[in-house]
Amino acid sequence: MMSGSDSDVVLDVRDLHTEIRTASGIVRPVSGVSFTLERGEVLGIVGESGSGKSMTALSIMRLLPGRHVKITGGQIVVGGRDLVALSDREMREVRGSKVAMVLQEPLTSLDPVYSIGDQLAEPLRIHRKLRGEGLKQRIIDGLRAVHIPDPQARVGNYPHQMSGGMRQRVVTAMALSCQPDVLIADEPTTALDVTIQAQVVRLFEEVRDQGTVGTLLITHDFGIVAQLCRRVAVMYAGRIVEMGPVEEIFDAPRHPYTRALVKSLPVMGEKIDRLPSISGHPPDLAALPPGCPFADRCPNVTDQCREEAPPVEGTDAHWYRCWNPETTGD
Amino acid sequence: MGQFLIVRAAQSVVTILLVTVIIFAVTRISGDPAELLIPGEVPTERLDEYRAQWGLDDPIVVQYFRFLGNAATGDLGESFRFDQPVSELLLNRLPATLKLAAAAMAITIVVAIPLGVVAAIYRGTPIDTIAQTLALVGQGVPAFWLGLILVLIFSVNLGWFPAAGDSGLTSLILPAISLSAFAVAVVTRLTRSSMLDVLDSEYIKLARAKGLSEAAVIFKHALRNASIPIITVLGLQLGLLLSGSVVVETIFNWPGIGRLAVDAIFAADYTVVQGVVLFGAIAFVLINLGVDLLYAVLDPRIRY
Ligand SMILES: Nc1ncnc2c1ncn2[C@@H]1O[C@H](COP(=O)(O)OP(=O)(O)OP(=O)(O)O)[C@@H](O)[C@H]1O
Ligand SMILES: [Mg+2]
Repeated sequence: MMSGSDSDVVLDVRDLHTEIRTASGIVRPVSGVSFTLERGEVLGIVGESGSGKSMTALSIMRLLPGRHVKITGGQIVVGGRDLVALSDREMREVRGSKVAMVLQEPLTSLDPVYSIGDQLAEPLRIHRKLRGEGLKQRIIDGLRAVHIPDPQARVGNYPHQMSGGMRQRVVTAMALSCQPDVLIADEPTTALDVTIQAQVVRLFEEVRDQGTVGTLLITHDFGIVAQLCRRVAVMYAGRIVEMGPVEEIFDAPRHPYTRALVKSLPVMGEKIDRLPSISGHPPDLAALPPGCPFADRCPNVTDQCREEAPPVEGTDAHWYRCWNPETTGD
Repeated sequence: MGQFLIVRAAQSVVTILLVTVIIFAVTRISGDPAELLIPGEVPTERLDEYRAQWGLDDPIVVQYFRFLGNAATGDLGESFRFDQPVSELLLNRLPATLKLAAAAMAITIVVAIPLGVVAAIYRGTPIDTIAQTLALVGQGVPAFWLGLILVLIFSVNLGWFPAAGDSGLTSLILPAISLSAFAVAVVTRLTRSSMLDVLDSEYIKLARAKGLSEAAVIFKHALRNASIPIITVLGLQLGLLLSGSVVVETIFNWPGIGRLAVDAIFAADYTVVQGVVLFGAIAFVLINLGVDLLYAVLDPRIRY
């Protein structure tokens, strides 16, 4: 790429804050999230339901649901530009072109009244200005790349004529069609059955190994994280509480929340739909305590935890926010 | 598609046949036409003569099939009151009714769909509140009341439009508005709720994630999907506009089929009543058929 080693970072999120105005006060589903994503890697984001994973993804796309949800601070740097500062028009040019997204529901994320060829054509038309034969060829190539059999015939199909796994492939082909730098996949396998899940995971593996795109993978499934990711971020109450190499997170978690998650994991290979639950309830985001949001559920809790926000500890490669981290080893 | 058409056409014919049975039965149950038509003390021979002349002394089944056979050839009998074939009367009155219904439909489409779309896009804002209030009022106000108010303001006080009769475009405006108010309300509400459903869907999120402009998201993806339920209700409302014009035609002295029906009912001109009801039934059936065909065009999931 053009500018040396720095260009390996395709997405740099710095201290991102997103707020929701609700009847019961301001909720901060994304509260100081920072991470970088490199080309050719899959970065996993895991965390309990409601921890802010989807909100983080939607903030990056600037597709937040409604006027009551707003990015209130931080930067999202893609290709040297801060997406937070872009106009709506400029942001539209980024969506689907530099940053693309695969949604959770393959069965409903395609428009039922247009053929998949029509829908695949849209981003190529807007962002790459393709028309006619060139456009048609790119669509067919795109379908072939995600292993849709007989793509020439399939372009005329409507979504209801395809299986869930096929549709997820089509959506993936659509996301990759303009060769984005960043691919965000929010639980791309959750709605699929096990064999189809395995195929979709293989597809993401291929995408990763082509080395052109950095993928942000949001999932509940640690098995998929282990298979695809080099690094993983653990989210809790709108923050990343621990981030590091996958093996270290599994074998030597430092944050008590990560440790509880990993300990509650089923034997590898067993299918799970949801992240295993740990004891206690996720905190009320509208009324967070001043200190560590995990304090109420934490076995290592001290008075300090309840009063002061924990510092970032560890190294650049493996860091965590905790006053009383677990000691290394299990 | 071909097979679907045949099945639906057969269903339509059966529906219309059932309607003819009901019409025929109801008009006969409501009294002996001979006695109704020749009021006062009349000698029995006079009545019998009359019955023989009109075939009213044949068995009821024979009478029904005669009615059906004639109707199939466009012969709906003679009006006792006008001494004119019913089909001729209907054809004379049809243009006025169609004109009124078409104008009301045009108002409905042009006002209700944009209003519903805008209300959905700006859900929860004052624009939405205004649209919903209008819809509520439109649904609650009876057509005759609205018609009278409009006449009072725009004809009597301001003198902008004629108060009654069919004398060109200006005379069409007030009756068309009165007639369309209910349909505008219903279609606005439905458009709003269908759009809200669709705008909430995953494929709309994905359309935005592709980088489509908001106009493309709304018009190409959202409205196209929302149009499927909207078309159903528009079809239903068109049927109601054709028949609902009875009240409005009466108020505005509009020379359409609705007024013909009212006059015929009061005069017990039963062949005309039969003809009007049959016309209404056929119109309903044809509109439904049209809606079904439109579905197949709009929704690829429907393949007959
Ligand atoms: N439209 C909304 N209005 C108010 N609060 C919302 C809205 N959407 C999400 N939230 C809140 O934001 C928080 C983060 O939600 P988010 O969807 O990001 O969680 P998640 O980590 O993706 O969960 P899941 O694993 O269930 O998908 C949640 O606590 C939720 O209650
Ligand atoms: Mg989510």
